Amino acid sequence: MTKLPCWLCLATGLGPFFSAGGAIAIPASSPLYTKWTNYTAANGFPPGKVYCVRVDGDRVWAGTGHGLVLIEHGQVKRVFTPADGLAGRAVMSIAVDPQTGDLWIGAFGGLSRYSGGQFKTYTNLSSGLANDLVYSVAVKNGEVWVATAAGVNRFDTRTESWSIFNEKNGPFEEPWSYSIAFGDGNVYMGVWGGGVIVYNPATRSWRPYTDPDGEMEIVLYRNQGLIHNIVSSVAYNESTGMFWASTYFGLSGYDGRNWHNYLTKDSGLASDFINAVQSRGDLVWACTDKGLSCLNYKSNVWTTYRRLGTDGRGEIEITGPEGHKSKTVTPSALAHSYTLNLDFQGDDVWVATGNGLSHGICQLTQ
Amino acid sequence: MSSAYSKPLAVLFAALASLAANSQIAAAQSVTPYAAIPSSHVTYPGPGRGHQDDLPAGDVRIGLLVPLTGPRKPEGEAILAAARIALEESTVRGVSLAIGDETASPWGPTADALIHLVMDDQVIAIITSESGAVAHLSEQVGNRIGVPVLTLATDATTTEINLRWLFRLAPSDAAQARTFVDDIYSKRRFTRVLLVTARDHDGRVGASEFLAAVRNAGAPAPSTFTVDPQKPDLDAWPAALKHASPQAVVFWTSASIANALRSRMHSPAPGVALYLSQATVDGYEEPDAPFPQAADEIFGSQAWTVASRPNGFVPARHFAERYRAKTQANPGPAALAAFDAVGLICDGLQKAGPNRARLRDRLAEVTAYSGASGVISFDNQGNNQQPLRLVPVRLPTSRE
Repeated sequence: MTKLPCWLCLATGLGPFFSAGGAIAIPASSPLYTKWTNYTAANGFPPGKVYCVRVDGDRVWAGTGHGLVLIEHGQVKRVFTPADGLAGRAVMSIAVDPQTGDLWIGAFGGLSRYSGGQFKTYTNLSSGLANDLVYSVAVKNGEVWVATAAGVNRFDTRTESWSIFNEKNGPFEEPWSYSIAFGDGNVYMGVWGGGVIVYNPATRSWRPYTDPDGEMEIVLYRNQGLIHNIVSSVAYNESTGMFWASTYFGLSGYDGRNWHNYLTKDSGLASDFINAVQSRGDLVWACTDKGLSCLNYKSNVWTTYRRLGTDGRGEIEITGPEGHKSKTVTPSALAHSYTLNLDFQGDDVWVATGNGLSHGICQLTQ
Repeated sequence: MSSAYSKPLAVLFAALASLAANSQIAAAQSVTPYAAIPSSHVTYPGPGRGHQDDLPAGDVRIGLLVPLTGPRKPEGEAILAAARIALEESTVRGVSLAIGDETASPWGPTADALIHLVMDDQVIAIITSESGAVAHLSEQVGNRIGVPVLTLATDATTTEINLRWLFRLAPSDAAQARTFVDDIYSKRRFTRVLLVTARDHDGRVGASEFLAAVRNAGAPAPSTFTVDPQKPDLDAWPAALKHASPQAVVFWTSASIANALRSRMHSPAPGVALYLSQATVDGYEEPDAPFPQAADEIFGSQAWTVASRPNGFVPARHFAERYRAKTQANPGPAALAAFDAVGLICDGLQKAGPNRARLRDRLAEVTAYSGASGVISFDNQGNNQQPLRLVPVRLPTSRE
């Protein structure tokens, strides 16, 4: 049995990760999060679920069931509600316009733009928004893309014009749309029944990726294609050129040639029920209902973070490429193991959980 | 590539694609799947069960998202009447109804009504109508916010996606289709069948399931007639009927469309057997006694639907009496299921208290609940899967 690289143990303060099959080597590009700071009802954060989180420089925005929360310098600075002009109390998605700094907020109640300290709200009645159940929003080059329960909208902020994409003009099975991501000049849409639909605005062409077994309740072959046609979230990794799709049945990745599917039964994934996926560098993050899992795609090493009981401690589970597992207990943990969304702040992560917002502080600083 | 070659190549590629697709289907039917939805009870590991998560003190409200305007208004009124009877019957106090109107299209105001019920009215649970589209609209809201949804929809795809907050009381389209197909093709040995569907989500799902059941039975494909539910073109119906010359007509539409079409079945009816999906029946009378006879020997008509309850089921008869006394009409499947949905929620509230997640847990455990629509048990996916049988029905007088 060989030990882990010493730098890792020293940096994290953890002992080596041993399993029955030997030590699990954790690649240098896989940071460990052993220190968590949580924002919950206990310290002034709105109670209950946090649906989304978005980092904007030093500011962190969180969407909760009680409005939009702004955190600055580790403190809850303000909670915006419909009384301030927000479209709805339950905030599902937040996007920052990199050009203008404007904030776009998707809520159950419509779409809001926060600019210059003022909200402007767009609803199904007052604008071209397809539906007031807004699940995801993303903005790029002055275009706001919105996934709603009645299709995907594109809002051109320069012309104030709306377009809609649904089963009438695209390869959608049904109009219920849950996720939007950009990558490689394309718009990736995670939709109900239609899997991942890729739209190229330049060529106005579509490329749908669906579950080839066509069955709702089974996965026929492991790497058959997209794992399931109902996609809760989609993410594009700029450095690898891969897109990742989360489903309530497992995780799928596509590298342009092959599919790479992961289920709890054959990987270190905490649960097949995945609310959201993010990918950056060699890492793929899955926000599941039973913990936060991170796959190092190159080494096939998984790291899963869970909360243990009620005493604030957590658990890190490492699963090696051969399936060997190793666990260690940490003094702090995610606010809840039910995780819904994630964003990055440098090497740190911010995680939306079922019971508050968690800030995972990266300790691999050497 | 020259155009002279492009067409034959396209045909070749299409044939190969078709072969590949058929191979996948054949494989799906013969290979042990790599993974499947777990057969154990689906649990919800998320938050929300603590007393700090209880709904505010005061009246507990049950949300009804039902059509109160438009062509499906009778369905909404039936659900509302049944829900009110259930509350009157319940021993649980301090429970009331909050009502949202499901308009003709689920994509606009219906979503707003749903948001209002969940976020403003703070309902403990939502009951949705027979519309599969509205059930789907509600399923993700229920999943994200954490609100139990009890739907009267027959669309089984609502419960095939591993969500933990949706419970479906009605028999699935597939189960109904299998029951109809068995009677039509195996028992009666009909060969000329006309399938009537609406051009909407539920019509598409119903048609797909019926045609799959026909294929699986090795029976000849039926003729089809599709109706736009927003602008039904009834003038084309007599010609379609005449052309199909059916021995049986299967309706997978709303009751209003089916009633309008039935009223125009002067020829070749009588003698045509009618098979009505659950949403097609807005009110009917069942015989109390066992009925080995054909439907026409009981009611003078040949109309059938499906039910899971036994013949002369006492809770159904009692509910039907109360419903008739209140509304002067016979209850249909939606009314029976709505009565049960409210009963299930009230029953769960007694044990769970005013908490959505704890109520969800109670609903997931429901086994052998004796309701008006039959004996209800939810499987691991939230389906009320009871064996179905054909039920002869006395239909309301045909109307335009």
